[in-house]
Amino acid sequence: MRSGSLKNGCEIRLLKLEENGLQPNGPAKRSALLRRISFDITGLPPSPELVQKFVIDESLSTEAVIDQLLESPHFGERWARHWMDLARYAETYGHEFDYPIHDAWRYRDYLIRAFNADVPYDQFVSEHIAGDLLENPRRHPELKFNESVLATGFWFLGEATHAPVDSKGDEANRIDNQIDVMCRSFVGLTVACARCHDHKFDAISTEDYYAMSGFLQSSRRQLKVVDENLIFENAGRKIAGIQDRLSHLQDSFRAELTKADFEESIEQISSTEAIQLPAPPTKDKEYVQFPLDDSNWKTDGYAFGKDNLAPMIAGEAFEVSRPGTLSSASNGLKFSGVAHSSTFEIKHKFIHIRMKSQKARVDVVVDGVRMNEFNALLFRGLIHKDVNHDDYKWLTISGELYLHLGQRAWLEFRDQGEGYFAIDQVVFSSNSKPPKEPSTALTPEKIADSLTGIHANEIMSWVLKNKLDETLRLREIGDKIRGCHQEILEVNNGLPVPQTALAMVEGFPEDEFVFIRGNHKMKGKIAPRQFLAGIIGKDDSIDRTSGSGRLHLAKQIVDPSNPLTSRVIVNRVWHHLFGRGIVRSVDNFGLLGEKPSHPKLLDHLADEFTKDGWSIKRLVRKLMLTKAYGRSSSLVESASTADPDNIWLSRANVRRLQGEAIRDSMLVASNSLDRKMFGRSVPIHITPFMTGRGRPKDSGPVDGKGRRSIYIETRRNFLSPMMLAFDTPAPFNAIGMRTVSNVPAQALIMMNDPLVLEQAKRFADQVLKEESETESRIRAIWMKALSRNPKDSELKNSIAFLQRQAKQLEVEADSPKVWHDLCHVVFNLKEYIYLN
Amino acid sequence: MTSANFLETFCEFRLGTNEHMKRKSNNSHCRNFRPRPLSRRAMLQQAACGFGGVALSALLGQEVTAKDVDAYPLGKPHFAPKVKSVIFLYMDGGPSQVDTWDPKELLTLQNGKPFSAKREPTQFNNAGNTLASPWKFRNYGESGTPVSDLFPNIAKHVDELAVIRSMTSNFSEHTNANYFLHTGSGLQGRPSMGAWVSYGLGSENQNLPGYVVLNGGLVPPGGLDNFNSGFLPAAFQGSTFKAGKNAVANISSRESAKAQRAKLNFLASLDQASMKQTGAHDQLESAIRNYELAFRMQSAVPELTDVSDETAAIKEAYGLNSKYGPEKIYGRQCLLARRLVERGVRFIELTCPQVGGDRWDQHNNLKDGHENNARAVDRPIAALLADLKQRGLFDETLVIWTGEFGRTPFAQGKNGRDHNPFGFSSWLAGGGIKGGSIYGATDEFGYRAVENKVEIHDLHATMLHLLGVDHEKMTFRWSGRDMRLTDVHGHVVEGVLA
Repeated sequence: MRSGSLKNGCEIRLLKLEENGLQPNGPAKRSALLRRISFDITGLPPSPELVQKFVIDESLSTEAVIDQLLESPHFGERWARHWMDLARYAETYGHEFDYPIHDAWRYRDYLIRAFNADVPYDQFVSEHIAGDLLENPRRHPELKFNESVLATGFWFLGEATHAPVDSKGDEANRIDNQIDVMCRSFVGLTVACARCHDHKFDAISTEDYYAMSGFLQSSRRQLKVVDENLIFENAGRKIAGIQDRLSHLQDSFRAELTKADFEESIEQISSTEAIQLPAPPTKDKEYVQFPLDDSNWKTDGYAFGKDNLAPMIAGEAFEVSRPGTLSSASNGLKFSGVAHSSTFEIKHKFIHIRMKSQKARVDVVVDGVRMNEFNALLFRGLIHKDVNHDDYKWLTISGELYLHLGQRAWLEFRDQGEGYFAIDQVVFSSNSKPPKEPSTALTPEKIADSLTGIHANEIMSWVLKNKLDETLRLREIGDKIRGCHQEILEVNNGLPVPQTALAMVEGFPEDEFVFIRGNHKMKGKIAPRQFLAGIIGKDDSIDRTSGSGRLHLAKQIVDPSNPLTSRVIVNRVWHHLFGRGIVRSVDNFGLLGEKPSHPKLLDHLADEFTKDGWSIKRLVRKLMLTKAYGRSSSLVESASTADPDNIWLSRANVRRLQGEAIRDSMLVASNSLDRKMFGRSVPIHITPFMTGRGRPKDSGPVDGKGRRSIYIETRRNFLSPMMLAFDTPAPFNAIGMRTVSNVPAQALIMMNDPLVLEQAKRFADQVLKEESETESRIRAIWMKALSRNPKDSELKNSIAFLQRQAKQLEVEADSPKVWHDLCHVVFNLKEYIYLN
Repeated sequence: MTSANFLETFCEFRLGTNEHMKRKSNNSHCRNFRPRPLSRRAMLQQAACGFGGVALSALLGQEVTAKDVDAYPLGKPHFAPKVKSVIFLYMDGGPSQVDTWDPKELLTLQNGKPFSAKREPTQFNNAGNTLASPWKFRNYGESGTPVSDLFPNIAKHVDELAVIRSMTSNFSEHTNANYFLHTGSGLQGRPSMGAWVSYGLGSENQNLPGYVVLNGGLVPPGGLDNFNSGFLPAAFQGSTFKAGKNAVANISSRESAKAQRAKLNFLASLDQASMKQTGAHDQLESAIRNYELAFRMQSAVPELTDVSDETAAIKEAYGLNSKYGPEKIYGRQCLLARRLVERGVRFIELTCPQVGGDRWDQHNNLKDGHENNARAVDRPIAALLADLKQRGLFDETLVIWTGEFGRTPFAQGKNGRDHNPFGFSSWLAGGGIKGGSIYGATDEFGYRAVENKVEIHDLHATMLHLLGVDHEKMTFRWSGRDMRLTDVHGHVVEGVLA
């Protein structure tokens, strides 16, 4: 992408070097190096064992330390956090009421596991873009569920507005954010400005932008089952076997029925209730049929058998679905699934759905708006959360559908694993009443003539349901069918309520229009889906008809011929380890980003990275083993004058720890860190300063239950003041480079925040318990906090401080209070807060 | 060559001989490299700055006074500033223009009749008939500007106000409209105007933040992100001052001043000693200095919020003795706003107090709701204007009064009004403002701005202009673009300038 040369700039730099005689620093002290390595890999201070072996005994090599730490599960926690900054990770939607993003934490856990497993980065990227479409998705090593699909949750972690008056505009903003996050994160390009006009500097046109937008228009958000231990998959397989047997039995039964002697039992048959037949689709022009065929509907989930003519296992009675029915009942009630329709323009004020169901949910999704889940304003009546009727009846969607005439929508039916739905007609109309059904019934007298016709299945069901098989001398086969039915019910027994995660699934392929000057009310030409033309040219190989094309997009993004993907990630890792990227603007490799300081080096590293299987861990290891990484940070005046930004890395950069690392390291020192991994987040502690709508009723504990910061809940409108002060970014877009501010608010937190004071106290109390001598206590504090022994002067001055402070506080010389103060001072040392 | 070798060779080469480097450089190792000047802005982005930019000057290794460099981190002001500070009176929820500053006879004539102009979709989709204002308007001052009976006290200062009757917003939803009003974008996460102002101008006070939000109790929909610094450094984010004793988080030491001082002294001695080894890294020096700043803030903030040194007359005027709780709260905020202006704080935003019912968001019960909200702010704002004048601060201060949008001239339900971004009223007062003027107009219903339409971007541009800043020139490079508060929009509204 980059062209042009800045030879002059280069020469100026060389002249300066020559003048100033820049010399590289020697290696860092072992304690400083160990802290650097430990925080960079795990976000935690080194363990006492490592300090002993590496710093004191010098019995461990740097390489061995790095290898050991890379195997720590804390590696994933540290590097997942870097990625969460890019994914604008949050657990609420922000805006007025800060509604929850359920299951967001599963994406966080996915990241931790992925980094720990060192998933090849190209795979990692593909999973984000098209994890739902991979032929061989990655499985959780023990629990076996599909990992890959969890990555797609990142698409949906953005902010969201409830009750948008202009829902198409709202959708445009949402997609804009998705495209921006994706492009900045993976290819280091800012595509968003092309929403309104061709990019002024990079080769990105509005057409490019809307061509990307189409991928998202063709995809949808869904809650996917996290199938731990493959409970549902295995149960489904078992049922499929039973269904196979059942299918043969049904064939035989129907065949036998044609031979059965109905005359013989006519009395009993006549006294049985007639078979109610489905009304044929109405001919009334007032009602527009929305066909229930494959071209208009997609199903997703374990609830759907292969064959929609399989029996419905919705109750004790045996019943085969009517042909053309959209049923989620063929595996039984405990299996969940979603059926969703193609996108249509809303032209009628009413949608009538003929269905039967238990605990089913019906949504009309207008322009992708999902926030009516929480607040129905302007979208009233478009969600029916709990549809329950075991007979076919019409459900009419009315409410505020009329407000959205002319907008685009789709229908979604959800079986949440505790019921089922079966839909046999969907019609649109301007009439608030559903079609009138001519009541038809197949009277027992006519049954014998209909045995091979379209009602064969209904007759079979009717016979079995009314136990007429015995009369008809088909008892043996009838019992076998009932036996299979029973077996399926038994498989269902004991199945849990499914766990879900946010994920992307395929919608129906469509291309977006170019919106002229970004205005969605002014449509230009169609922009056929494809990746940026500036990188791949015109895409002739993409299949735009059979799906969204995301898998194709993912392949192009990670294709080694795309120079950006590998360089962007290598540069990110470099940035995290050296404090500054080779391209400083880590999220922008375009012409408006900064030039690489060492382009050849970046090329080389990216090349090696792809050849080495895209391994992040090995890249981290390689960079950490360079002399540049291991150098001391001592400031040599000549070097700092000649190269103030330390572009040439003649010294290590002094780096402030992130807020998370500061908090976590205090918990380590105070022996309060709960190293438990994964799971739902700990509620955020709400201070009196955190006010506003959507404020949680209950505050989380001050110390976050001792969990690592990554497990503390991220509420968009109630972000942790400590993390904000220490530059954890507000989650609104991909942020690969945190600002590093240096403000008194940070000092105020470290001086006065109850969390800090409490940890200092616990730290001191712990040391007092472990050590009994003043000197050994001070040594222990230094070792735990700074990974080194105190210098003599520090020892001496600390003792003096303890004495002075005892006098000041009017307490005994060895009162715990003075030790609390000493530990508090240590937490505030720059050496504690910074990596030297 | 293995990669580790390559790396080392590479880095050695950078530090190696001149010959070696020249050869390599022709070979394009650093062809694209461009040395970055150590600009003040880059410094701000990346490293330290205290509230007053003290740390910044330390970074630059210069002795500078507040008046020259620190006051304008961007360099010189683009032109002579008219004002030094902004007081932003945010009227949360959207006060109704036709009930405050924009009288419409036609509404009275057609009261209760179907609304006869074209209507846009509304937030609550519950539009009723035309609704007359329950309040009388009277003409005040020499200018004769009409003001409704909601603001009998502010009305006395009408000759100082420039009323804009043609404000517009792009959003009908509170949250988007609030972000838009505060940041110039309807989406979450952009820097607030207060952050831009303190980024552009710094603060004249080293012990107080440049952007203070006096929280009266109601954080606007959209939350604290309305006051955030977005992609600007965290130093510029709004510091929220809570009403009451501990106005700022962690501002109170939890130990005696002496005990704390002793700890800080010991801390400083340890830090200084270790810096002798590592060298005086800028970040470390600034961080050390921040402890001193923080220590001073511990007394500067309580000193600010302690109003016991104010005269009884002043307290009475602001409403501090009011029996109406919300007025008392808002009066104290207005008084603090003046004290902050005196101390050189750049941007002060006041949020509304809770009045029992809703904010200025009367979807029903317009009469009671607006009356309560007006009662809370009318006397305190009038007192603030008078006090600023009396102390000679009025001409150095810009006071802005606005909601995020206005309300519909037709009813919502029977007696409420829905959100209306198509035309509403705001007013400006202070240095450089043409007092006693009315700018722009809405249609005969007060529904849409039809004359001299003013956008939020224009309001921002005008505000920056008065502060001596060209809104097109105050930029921050982010996401590959030179970002502005006004994005690609904004015109200075000359018509309100003196």
